[in-house]
Amino acid sequence: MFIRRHNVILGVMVLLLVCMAGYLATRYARYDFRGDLPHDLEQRIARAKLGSKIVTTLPARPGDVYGRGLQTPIIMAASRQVPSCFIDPSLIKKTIKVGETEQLVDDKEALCELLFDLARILKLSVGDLNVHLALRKEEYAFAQERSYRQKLAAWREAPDGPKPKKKSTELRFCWIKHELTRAELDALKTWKTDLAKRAKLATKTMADDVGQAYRKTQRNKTRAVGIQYEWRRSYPNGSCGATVLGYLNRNNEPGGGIHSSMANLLLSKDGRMVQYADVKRRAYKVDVKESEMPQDGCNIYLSIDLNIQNTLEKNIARACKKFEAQWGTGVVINPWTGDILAMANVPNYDPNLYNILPREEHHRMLNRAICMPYEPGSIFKPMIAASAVQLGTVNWDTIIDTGNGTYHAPRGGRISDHGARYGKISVRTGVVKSSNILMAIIGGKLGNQTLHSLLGTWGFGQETNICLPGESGGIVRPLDKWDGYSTPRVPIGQEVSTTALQVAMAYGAIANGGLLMQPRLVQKIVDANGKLLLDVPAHPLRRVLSKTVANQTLGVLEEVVQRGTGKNCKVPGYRVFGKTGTAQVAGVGGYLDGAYCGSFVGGAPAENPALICLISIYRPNRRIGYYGGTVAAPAVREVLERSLRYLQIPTQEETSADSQRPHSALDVNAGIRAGARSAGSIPIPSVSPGSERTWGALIPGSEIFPPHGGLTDTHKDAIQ
Amino acid sequence: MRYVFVILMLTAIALGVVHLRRTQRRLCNEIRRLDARHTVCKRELWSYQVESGHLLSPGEVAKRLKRMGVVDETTFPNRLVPSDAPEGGE
Repeated sequence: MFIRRHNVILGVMVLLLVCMAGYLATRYARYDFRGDLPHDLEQRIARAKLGSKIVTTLPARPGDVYGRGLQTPIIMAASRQVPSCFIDPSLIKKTIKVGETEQLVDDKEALCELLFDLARILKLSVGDLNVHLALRKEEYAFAQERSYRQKLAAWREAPDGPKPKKKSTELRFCWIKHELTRAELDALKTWKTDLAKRAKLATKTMADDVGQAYRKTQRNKTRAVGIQYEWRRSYPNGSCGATVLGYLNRNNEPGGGIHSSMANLLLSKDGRMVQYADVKRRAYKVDVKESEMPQDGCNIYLSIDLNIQNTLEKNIARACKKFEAQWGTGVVINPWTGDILAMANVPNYDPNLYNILPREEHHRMLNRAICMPYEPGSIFKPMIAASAVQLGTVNWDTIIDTGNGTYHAPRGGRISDHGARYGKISVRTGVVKSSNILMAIIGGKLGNQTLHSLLGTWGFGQETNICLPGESGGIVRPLDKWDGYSTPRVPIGQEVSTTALQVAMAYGAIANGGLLMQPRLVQKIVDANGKLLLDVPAHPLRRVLSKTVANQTLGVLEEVVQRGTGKNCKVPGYRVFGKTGTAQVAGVGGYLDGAYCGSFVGGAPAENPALICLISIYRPNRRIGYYGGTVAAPAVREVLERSLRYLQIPTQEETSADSQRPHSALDVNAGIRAGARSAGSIPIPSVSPGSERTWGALIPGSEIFPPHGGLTDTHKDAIQ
Repeated sequence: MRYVFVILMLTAIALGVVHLRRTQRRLCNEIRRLDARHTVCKRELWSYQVESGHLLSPGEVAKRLKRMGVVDETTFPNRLVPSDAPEGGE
């Protein structure tokens, strides 16, 4: 009995299956046979599939930019998410009866109520809000219409696809306020919750139809208001280092500085989450294959030391203000590694407020240290003199007769020492006193061809390839355009234009024993997961002077500060070297009357240079002062004094008092250690020479940055 | 007896499936909740990061020192700048 009944059930099921197969087969055969399949079936299927999915953008975060403190990374630019409020006015609708049919029309009363509420919560003016919304509606309609007409025109020219359809011109998205405060955000959320509660209460207390209409209106209002989180770039240091940093605008487009040159690494790639949705557009499953994870941008660690940067900016600003200068620029470098420790420009700007900077003030965004070449003047002399000594044309003690203060160069016009009469002086004294005539005579001895090749050797007329946009290589005219006037003028820093960075790097070469270094601004690049992508090593370009000549030049430069034109740069406790320069500003057809650029480049300590600082003050008020030794040297002194103390470089007394020094006098890091011990600020264990890793590992963040002194004796010897 | 056994088994399987489904939904919701919380935490973290950067910025540190009346030992008294007399042909 059981078996028979079972067979019956089985039979019925088989029958059902056969019927179903028959039905499907007939259906398929009918479509196939009659050929009434829609021609765009595949497109329809694709559309249906697309319609059944919800695609959400997963915003990725642009990378951070870090500067450094003494040993710790300090953030210079970072992104955070800020809430913004928007509305979708197309959702505020109501149904009205027109004859027998029902129509959806704009609910102006509800929209008005909504605007009032938003204005109250977000502290805006209702009138402004209304005008803003109306304008956005007009703009959107216009944009849609224009887009449709363009597409239609394109289609008429080449009608290869379906005729474009006119899209709705109804505005569906309008920003109300960006960057809500926490209080505003909370108020907005509370308002939405209250609306929902009121709607619920209304359905209970009001008559059915009235309550339902009220509930619908409240629901529409709630749904129409949205909160979206946007990325906002912040620059916590304000204008400090702004020209080096640049900025990212609201659309993540870079605006100068490191943000432009490293845009491909800093900028991120948004991800997307694709979810299957049911008929009510509720997500129920994630499509893993089509979804993509967001890729955050890389973090970039710069060599900029924000404390030195701040000091440099302040002092340049002070000098510019005091001498009523047009602008000022400055660079501080580590001569051993080529690290740019500070690069400042005045006037500058605050990248947080880039969007309110008027067009006529956009010059503030210029990084003049690299993109504004100017005639260097006398700060150019030591390079030429040192090269002449290196080539054996003269030596530092060669006596040259500078006459009575005026010199007529062969086919080269008149050169003067501006009233000073030095007579017979050695090359050393000539550089110390900054004699133009002496340098013109040396230029004559070298000849144009040698001079021209020397400029190339020192890196003038070429870009330094620092990773910043808009770098100028300076101006060095081709040799065939040089004439008799060039020979005496190039050695005194005329007829050539250089950038502040080029000059600073050249002085770095004198300070480190004759090696021209590649400037290093980016030290490390780390991806969003903390993986080190790039560790930029110190890179010597070429030898420009022998070690002996470089050391001799350093001695001469020290004399410039001790007894020459750079007395204003004496720093108590340190042996400072440097050179002043006052260049006339070239205009169309000659030098401008009364326009000068006063510069000073200095470094310390002379026995083991840790810093080189160059400051140029462009077109100071002549009546107040314009010589490099007056306008720039005090600022350089201030920067050097503060920076040396900050870096804990021991003074001469401290160095001589420290008889237990484990390193030679040329080890800056040993100096830092000694300084730290005497200051008692950081407990530093004793380490064997060359083991900077061990020392660095004990300081938080030092695995990111090497100590400021840069290199140990071993490293320096390796470079040498 | 067999029917009862089959029905009980089916009921047990159905209950098991319902339980599994419920647990899965609960865990899904938990993941979503944690994900949302994670996003909120990250947002806060980014804000704090910017805030800490602001607090560590040299300008801000100097301002606070000034407000607290702490003497910045790297501030040096103004020195006299000699006259603007040129020395040599700068």
